Amino acid sequence: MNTIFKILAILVVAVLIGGAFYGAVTALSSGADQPSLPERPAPPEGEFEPRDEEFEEGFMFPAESIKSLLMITVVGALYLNLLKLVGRRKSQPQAI
Amino acid sequence: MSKQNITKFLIDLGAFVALLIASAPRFTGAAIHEWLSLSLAGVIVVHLLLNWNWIVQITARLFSKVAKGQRFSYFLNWALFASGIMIMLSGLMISETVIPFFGLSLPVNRSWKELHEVATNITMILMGLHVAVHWNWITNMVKRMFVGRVNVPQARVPAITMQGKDA
Repeated sequence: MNTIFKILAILVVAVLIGGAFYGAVTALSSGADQPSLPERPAPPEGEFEPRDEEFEEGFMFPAESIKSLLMITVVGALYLNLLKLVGRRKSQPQAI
Repeated sequence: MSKQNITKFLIDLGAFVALLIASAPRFTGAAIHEWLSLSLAGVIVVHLLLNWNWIVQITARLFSKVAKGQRFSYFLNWALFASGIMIMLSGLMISETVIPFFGLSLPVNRSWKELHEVATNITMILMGLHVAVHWNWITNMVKRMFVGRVNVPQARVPAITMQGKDA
């Protein structure tokens, strides 16, 4: 099986999953084609309208990256410690 | 230590760092966030290609002779793949840079934004499990690449085979 076929297989599976998600989301969200954000009146000509607050310009502290790293670390540590605990219990001799 | 293992490790490390950077759109700005995330999709395809043999092997004998850990890892990887697709899809639906770059426009729907955030959190949790499942392989690679050359004698380091690293 050559590499192109493998890539095609991955993309086909991705498209199938993505299509299923898209169908589910559009079917479940009422009025999917309608803009759900409240309509705002356009600002007077020449007046500055701020963009979405989410992407402000300039340097910002990467708090979201740290949050993601923290989530990964906590989940990973919990899983590994849980495995250790289960392994220790299995290896302990049964009390008579 | 095979060259393919080093390649896998470096690609995975790069993808992990890129994922952390891409997960902070307020820090990077919308353009870097979107283009970096899109390029991460390509890296994930490479990651899957490098681990193709494992995927095929486990898929072929999923319901017969597979260790519990391997089966868990297999379904975890599928969940991670699906949540990654959910992030990409919802991200493209609310895109401010990539979709307009191709001259396209999509209807505004707030549920995509909420889904993007939920999918990101789910992916981070699954990523934590994914890293934990492969923790032994990661620590062995780090030891062999950085510590092993200085302190650890070659004979004492356990051999890492291709089967030791899953997808």
